[in-house]
Amino acid sequence: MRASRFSAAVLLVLLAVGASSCVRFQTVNLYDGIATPPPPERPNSISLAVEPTIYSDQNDDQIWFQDDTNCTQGQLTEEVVFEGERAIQVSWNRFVEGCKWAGMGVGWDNWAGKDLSELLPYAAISMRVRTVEGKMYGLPIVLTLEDYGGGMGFAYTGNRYFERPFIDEEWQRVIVPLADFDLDVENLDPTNVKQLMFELQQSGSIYMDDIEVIFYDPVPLEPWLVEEPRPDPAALPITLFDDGFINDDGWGLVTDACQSVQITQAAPSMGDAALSFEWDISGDECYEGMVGVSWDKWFPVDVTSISEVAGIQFDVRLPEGTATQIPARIALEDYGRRTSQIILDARFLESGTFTTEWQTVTIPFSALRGGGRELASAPATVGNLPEFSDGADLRNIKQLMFFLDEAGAMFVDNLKLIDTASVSVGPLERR
Amino acid sequence: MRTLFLLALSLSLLASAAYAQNEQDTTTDRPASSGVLEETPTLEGVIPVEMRQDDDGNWTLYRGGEPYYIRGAGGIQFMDRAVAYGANSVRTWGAGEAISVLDEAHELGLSVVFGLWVGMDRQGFDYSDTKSVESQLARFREVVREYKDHPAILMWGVGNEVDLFYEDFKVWDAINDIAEMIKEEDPHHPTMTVTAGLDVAEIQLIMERAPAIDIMGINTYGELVGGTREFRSYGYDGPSVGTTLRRAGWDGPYIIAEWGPDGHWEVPRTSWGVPIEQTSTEKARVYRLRYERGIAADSAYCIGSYAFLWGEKQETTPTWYGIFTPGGYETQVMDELEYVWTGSYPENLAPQLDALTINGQDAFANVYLEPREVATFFADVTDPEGRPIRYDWEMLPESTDIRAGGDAETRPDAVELDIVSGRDGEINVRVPRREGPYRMFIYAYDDSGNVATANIPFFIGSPEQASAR
Repeated sequence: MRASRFSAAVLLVLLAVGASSCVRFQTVNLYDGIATPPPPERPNSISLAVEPTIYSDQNDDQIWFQDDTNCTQGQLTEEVVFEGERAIQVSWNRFVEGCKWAGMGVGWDNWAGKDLSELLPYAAISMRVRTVEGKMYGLPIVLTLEDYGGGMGFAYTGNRYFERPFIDEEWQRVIVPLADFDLDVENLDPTNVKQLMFELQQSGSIYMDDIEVIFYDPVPLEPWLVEEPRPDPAALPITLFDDGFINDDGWGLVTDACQSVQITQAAPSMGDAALSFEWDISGDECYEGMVGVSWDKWFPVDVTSISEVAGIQFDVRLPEGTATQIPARIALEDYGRRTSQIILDARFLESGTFTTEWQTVTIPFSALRGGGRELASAPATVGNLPEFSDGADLRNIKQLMFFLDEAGAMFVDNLKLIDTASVSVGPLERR
Repeated sequence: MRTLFLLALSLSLLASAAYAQNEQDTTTDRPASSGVLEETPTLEGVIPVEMRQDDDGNWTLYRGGEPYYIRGAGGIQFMDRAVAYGANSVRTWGAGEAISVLDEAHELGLSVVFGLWVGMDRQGFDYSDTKSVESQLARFREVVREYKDHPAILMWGVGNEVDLFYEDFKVWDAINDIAEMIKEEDPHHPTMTVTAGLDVAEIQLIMERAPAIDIMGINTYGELVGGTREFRSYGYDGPSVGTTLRRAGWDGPYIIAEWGPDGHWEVPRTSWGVPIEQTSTEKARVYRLRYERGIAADSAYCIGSYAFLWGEKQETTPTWYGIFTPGGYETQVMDELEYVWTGSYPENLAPQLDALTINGQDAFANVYLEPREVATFFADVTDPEGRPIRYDWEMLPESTDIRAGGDAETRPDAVELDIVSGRDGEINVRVPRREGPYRMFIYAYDDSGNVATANIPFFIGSPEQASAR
């Protein structure tokens, strides 16, 4: 990334110089100018690039511990070792008042400036670790590479780098890939590394031994839980309700003081069941009725690729009488709770009138409006979704909703998302 | 970057002497409670807790075989005062915090929600990593085994606001594993998980992915009370928490696990974009209304609540959520909590603050001042008993350490006040030379440990400078 920025900067400087000196440049391919340089070749041996042993048995000024023993107590011990003569024993407690930092470091290879750059994609820091006593469910250590210019790179010793899920009194290997170090935040120069520091967080007490740079081939993370593959949530058509909600992910099927929404077997438009809506939100304890359904198990859905052609389609009928509008709004809601919505108007029917007979409503996504409840009820000539900035974020849709206003009743069935190109004539022309 | 690696367990413990419990269920319409132990507890070992649903569908929490309605304090400071003012339970968020208060809470007659701080996306926890997830479960199993028989434990709080800015739904599967583990290890205490606000998606996901959760916990502020037209003036116009839960399909019991003033994310902002905080008097009013209409009113499903924050902390400002101020002074919110918990107001009420202005303009006026301008700050404060009031003014630069989900924030350093004239509730101050957003805070104390607080934001510089920031 930095190389790309540098290349781009050089290009800009050259262009500026060229413009000011009236030199005519030959056209070049911009992509060639900012291409990421290829990774370095893998060296045949670690030791050809850098001294691989960070800590083994040395007992000299290459290893240091924080002076403030209230925060860090470190020593070399011969009593508990993984291999060889000595190991590192370090205990720390950042919760002690005044402990703003705790840590230790190793300036391996006699504090020489070390060039890790060609090893970055291929190597890791390996160390043997065990607790002094009991278990540690994490290893709250930030490994910090420091260069001679004061730049630093960081990696947290997360559990993923352990051999086993937690650290206990048995030695185990902890391997932190160099590629996982964040080198950019504090600009580590990997060609001139002074030391490896251990920034110790929270509290702990461990032994460490055999710290070294090793070759490392990335291994895929062992996934804890594999989500079942789901159908493409933008592949139309998608049935949201036929005899039940898709994935059982509908809600609002309750009878409370404001709404009564039920699945009914009485005269569905198709199949065995339909949705029965009754609502009256005139009571002071009510705000609005709501029913909703997610069609991708509540994962956010990006509908931008289908927003031009997609539509909401369902069968609807009244329990009695006729109407040209039903006080219900059909909406797409995003995960920021913003909605694009439209009132259920008979212009979305072929007949132009809601009756007690089943009829099919088709509402193109493009007919949905941002701007809140009032604009959803505005005349058809008022704009639609793309022209309102405060509608739902089409990249982050949560669900389809029915908002129920005033008082009303209807039956709904066969709710689905469709490709409106498949709708021949009629309802779309009435917009 | 490195701070992302820290998991927060940060509230401190203040231990103090016990107060006798004065339980008077007389005037409020809250559900009756038998939850407070009136004498030093004699029960040792585990006190079983369970939920029961009657034939009408109403949920009741039982502790030691007795109905137990939670009048909770969210926080572990000043626990003695929680008991004195009518609380019967405290909530913790993490295990370290819980462990540190179990014994004292039990001695005081308080139960404890034992929080287990579940790893979160936004704090760097990776639910794709098997070792991390297994390690977390193993750690909680050890904690549960160690403490499950402590008599103070009321329930296990498995995770807090893990849904805040999250993307990985697998956290709910992990929470279910933790809840199932708890049921294996501890058959005597239920499990609760707590969401940031209330969203149908999270309720559905919890029901589907974490069926071992017994109690839904919701942290909610401005959205606690909805439905009534009167309350729409408070900025929220959706259904009540109970209504939404049941519409979302949750028929189980729930707890309002944090509630309080309007949250800093849901209030009007100045033209330079900083949230306007309610005064302590305004907060007191909404605590009362939210308790009566958002908590006590749903006695069929809501089994109690935890008022936030029982203590004080910096979050957007030093006063936004604390029911106390530094030094342990009590705001008017406490008077209302004591009322809704016990049915009686304290003998000595906190001072009331009816206005705070700069040059006669309030917080909604978007006050811009010139550098080094002398401005008049006025606070209209009265003490209900007519006692003398001591005024402390403090000017802070607007905080820039703003985080999410209650993560620890740093308090800005106060500006040295250049008071030109005036005293007490009205002072003339030469404002700083440095351009930028500030707030003037007023702390008005009575002589009995009570305080009224408010702050007013202002900008030194022009609107153009503010918009350029």
